[in-house]
Amino acid sequence: MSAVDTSNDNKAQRQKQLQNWLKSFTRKATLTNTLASIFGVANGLLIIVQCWCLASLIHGLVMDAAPFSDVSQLAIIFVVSGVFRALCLYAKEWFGFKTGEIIRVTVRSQLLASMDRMGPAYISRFSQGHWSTVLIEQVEDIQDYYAKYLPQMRMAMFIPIFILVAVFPLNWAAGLVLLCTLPLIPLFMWLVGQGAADANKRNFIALGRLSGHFLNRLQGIETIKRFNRQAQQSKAIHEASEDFRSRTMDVLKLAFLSSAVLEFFAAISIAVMAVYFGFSYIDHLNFGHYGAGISLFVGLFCLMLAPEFYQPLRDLGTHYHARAQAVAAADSLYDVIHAKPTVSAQASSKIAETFGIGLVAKDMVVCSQDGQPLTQPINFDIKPGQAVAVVGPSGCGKTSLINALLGFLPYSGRLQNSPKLEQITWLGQSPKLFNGSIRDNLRVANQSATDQQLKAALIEANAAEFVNELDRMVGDQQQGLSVGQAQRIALARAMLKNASVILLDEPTASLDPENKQQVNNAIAQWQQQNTLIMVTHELPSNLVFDQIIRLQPLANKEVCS
Amino acid sequence: MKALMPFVRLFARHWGWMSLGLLLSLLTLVMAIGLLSLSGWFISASAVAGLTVATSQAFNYLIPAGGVRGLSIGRTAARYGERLVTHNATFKLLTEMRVWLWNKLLPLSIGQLTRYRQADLLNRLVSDIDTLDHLYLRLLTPMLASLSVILLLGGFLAIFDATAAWFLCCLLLSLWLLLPPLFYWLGKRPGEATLQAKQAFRIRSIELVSHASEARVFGYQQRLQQQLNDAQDVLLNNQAKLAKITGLSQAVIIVASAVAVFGVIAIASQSVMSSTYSGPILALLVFATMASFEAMLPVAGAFQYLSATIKAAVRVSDVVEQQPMIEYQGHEQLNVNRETAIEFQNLAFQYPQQDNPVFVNLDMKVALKERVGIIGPSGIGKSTLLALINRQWQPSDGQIKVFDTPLEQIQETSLRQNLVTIGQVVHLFNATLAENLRIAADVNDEKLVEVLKAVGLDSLLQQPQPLEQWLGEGGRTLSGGEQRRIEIARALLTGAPIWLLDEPTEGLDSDTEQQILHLLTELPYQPTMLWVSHRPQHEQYFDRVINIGEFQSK
Repeated sequence: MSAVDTSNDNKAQRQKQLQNWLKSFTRKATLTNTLASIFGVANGLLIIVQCWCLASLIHGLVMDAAPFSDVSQLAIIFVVSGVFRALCLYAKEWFGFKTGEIIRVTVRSQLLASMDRMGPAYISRFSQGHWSTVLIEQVEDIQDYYAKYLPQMRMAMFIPIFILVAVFPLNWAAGLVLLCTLPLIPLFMWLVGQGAADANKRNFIALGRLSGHFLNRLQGIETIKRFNRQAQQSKAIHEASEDFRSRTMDVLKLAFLSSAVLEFFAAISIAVMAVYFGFSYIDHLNFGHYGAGISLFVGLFCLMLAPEFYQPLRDLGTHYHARAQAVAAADSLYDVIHAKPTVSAQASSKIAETFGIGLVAKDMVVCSQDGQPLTQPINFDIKPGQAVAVVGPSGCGKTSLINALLGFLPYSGRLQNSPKLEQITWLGQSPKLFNGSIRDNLRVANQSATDQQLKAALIEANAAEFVNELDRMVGDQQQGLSVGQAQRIALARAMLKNASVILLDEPTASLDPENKQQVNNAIAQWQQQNTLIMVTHELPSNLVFDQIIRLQPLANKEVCS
Repeated sequence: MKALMPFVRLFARHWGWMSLGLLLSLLTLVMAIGLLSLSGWFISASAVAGLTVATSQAFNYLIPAGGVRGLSIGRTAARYGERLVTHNATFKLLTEMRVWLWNKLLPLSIGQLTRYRQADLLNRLVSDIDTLDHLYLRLLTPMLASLSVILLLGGFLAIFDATAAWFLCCLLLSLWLLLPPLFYWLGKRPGEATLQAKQAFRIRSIELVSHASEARVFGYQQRLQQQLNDAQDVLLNNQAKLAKITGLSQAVIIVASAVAVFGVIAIASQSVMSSTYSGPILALLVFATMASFEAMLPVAGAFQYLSATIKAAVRVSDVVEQQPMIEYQGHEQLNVNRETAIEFQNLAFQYPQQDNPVFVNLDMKVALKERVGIIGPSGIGKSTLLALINRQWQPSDGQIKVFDTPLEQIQETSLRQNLVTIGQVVHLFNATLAENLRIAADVNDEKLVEVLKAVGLDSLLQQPQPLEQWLGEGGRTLSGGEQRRIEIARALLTGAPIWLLDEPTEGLDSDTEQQILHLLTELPYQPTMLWVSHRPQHEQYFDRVINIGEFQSK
């Protein structure tokens, strides 16, 4: 029992923490946030003005039999207040949007800063889909919390108070009706909310499993067709979808009750007001008016304000999901922004040599950022200008070693002469070229390179077919280039960087034999003066290595300190 | 607009629930207007009656006071009912649309479907279907309910004051007619631009993430971040336009309601002055006018998003209106007791819109229970050959026979029962282990356990109720090797005599690769195998190899 309690406690604590964190961002947009609330509340004040005018108008026309021209001034104030209300609502919407915009920009830049700080090893722990969801959907999900929910919350706090202030001096009985229902509302909503939460919890696992059902079957449509299960699955989709409907309806039946409670209070208070004032006028009731009597004006004014008293709360209810959505999104946003390595990468010392750096490792264990060992202790002594192959079964940490040499992952033990990122050039398994011309893509490696030098590098990388196409555009995800072509351009880029250490992580893994041969030939030409470390699972026949480092699988004895 | 018609027609199937929802939403509005108008009239009338003792005593307060109470409770109940019914109807429509989409997608060939899988369009398709339910909840219901309210209210008010009723009706009707096209027109461009901007932003953020290492080594993070920020600016600009339109839609309704009240008072005060009717009727008219705008609130807002709904409808229609590339018209049942399992006669294939054929003059027989390796460099058309047997494509020339029957003459079910394909991607359904296996055949639990043991998945059986364990999203994650074993278990369950294998060990580490190779060559029964591989070391497992490269046109 206590285990469940603690986990619920933790959950509640986490929710609280996330909410406070979300709220703390309003400091970045104090002005717009305040303005949105002010215009929202001003709209409420103008409603009171409008009701005042209208009640006086009707009183004058009905009780005093005044001609319209006598009261036309009130009518004009009524319309003008309406125009101002429209302006207020427009301004509220605009400043609310601006608040959300400023905060979204802030959150995104914090996300990017954190990703930058944590580096590629952290980024690669999650899928690209995960990151695009975090950067886009989850950040977008916090918008309405700032744009709609927060201003509405201020309105729900202030407008009912203003209405009470307007009503009480005229008639305490009417004021009391409103005042008494106010604490009942949160009570009922809490009761109903509990029930909805319970129903939700009961259905939680089933709903979770059902929600992705249709997409999952669509993704598996090939498999279903292969096994000839089309008709059966079409029935299953129908059933799952209906099951989802009935379970969701179970939850909604209770969830809608909470808004029904508000509706009920709004409607009942109108009814009570109408009956109270009606009966007072025909002398069946006689209280609430401080002995001053009740004019039709007072009755109409209170009656008109009664629904407005509950309206801000009802509107808050419709924005309630904005808050829930924001807190849900904050869950992962918070984690990314506050990500910290438990073990930090070692600072490397700058080395004077221009090319050919020797590296010495002694009991070097590469660690993940949360302190898990990723390799067995590694020992090597690489002389300047040597070519070294790193081999070993999959999962033994070959790529982790490269990442540690790049400074993306921390390690324990010793690594002497570890080079700085500026001194390293690198080529990975799958080439990544960005959207831009081939020239742009090559020049990032060497800003001062002339077209002649770029062409020379392309020829050297066996990518001679592109030599006269420096202006050719590379599309998103290397559109228009084959994997082999892209890899050879990436090789030229790696060659253009003025570096003393070459790190290669299975550069030919995704290539067919012909391209493989070409890339390996180019590497053999290039390597001669520089220190080269190449991770590979089969030793290429046309490359000569001075040393081969064999990594063993982890023995689970390694520690990161 | 025309794009929405197929969906509106689908909705017709649930007209009962839908009209009940509409009716309740109308009832809610009528009761809300009734409550305020009756209350306004009641207190004005009693105030007038209270002026003298005689009128005060004669005033019948019981009926209106009871009416006020009844309406206030009725409105709450109707609103609650409306929300339940409309949501229930929406979910029913969703089911209808899903099943419809599924049945439309089924006849498309695997080649046509693969395009959607790869580009992640399926995700979008599912959210498009979800968007289309707005059509009922946000568009049809509020529009029809508000129109009915306008007409009913006009009729009701005309009893008291025809001029005021005309004025109000004309004002509301012109809002009802003008606001939707206005806000549709206003929202169209920024709405579409927002969608595009989001797409561009997604591409930029994926670029930023996938270039994480390169960008650091070659120092172009700034460039990527700048591009991402530019994409964000475009998105924010268009969202700002939409926010202004939302603000405008609220403002228009507020101003219109003030003008409406002003007009009704001006008109009604003339009648009161000329004693056409009494003062409390004026109060009734004013309160009814104020309340009627509750029905107008959704009219402007809903249309801001119509363009997005139409776009979704167009995209879904584009997918479902494709002609299936291959139609199964054959009726032959396969007779598996033949000596030749598969025969290629003078086969040639060329992809549409490509200059060179993949292969020509391919002649070959595969005997029953023979294990044939298809080798050759990548991109040469090894997988294409399997796709042709699977009828994902139509040969350009020549023909393929399975058990001596030409492919075109075989009934679809019979072909599927006798062929299984094992590829590199294994689809695990979000379902139990048993359901994941029973995709292949309806067999009892004992048989499932037996097959799981045969493929070396004993590890999955080490827990209570192993067949009920959940796989896929939110369930147990399986390693690449385990996933291949599941696929092999499925194939075994079908008992199909011909297996097509498309690099079934690709992407596995060498230990697992050996285990899977072993498993595939030591199966409980020996199917005919056509096995695509680019690894020379696999050749020892085949009875015979053919090199597709030999059939290229020179």
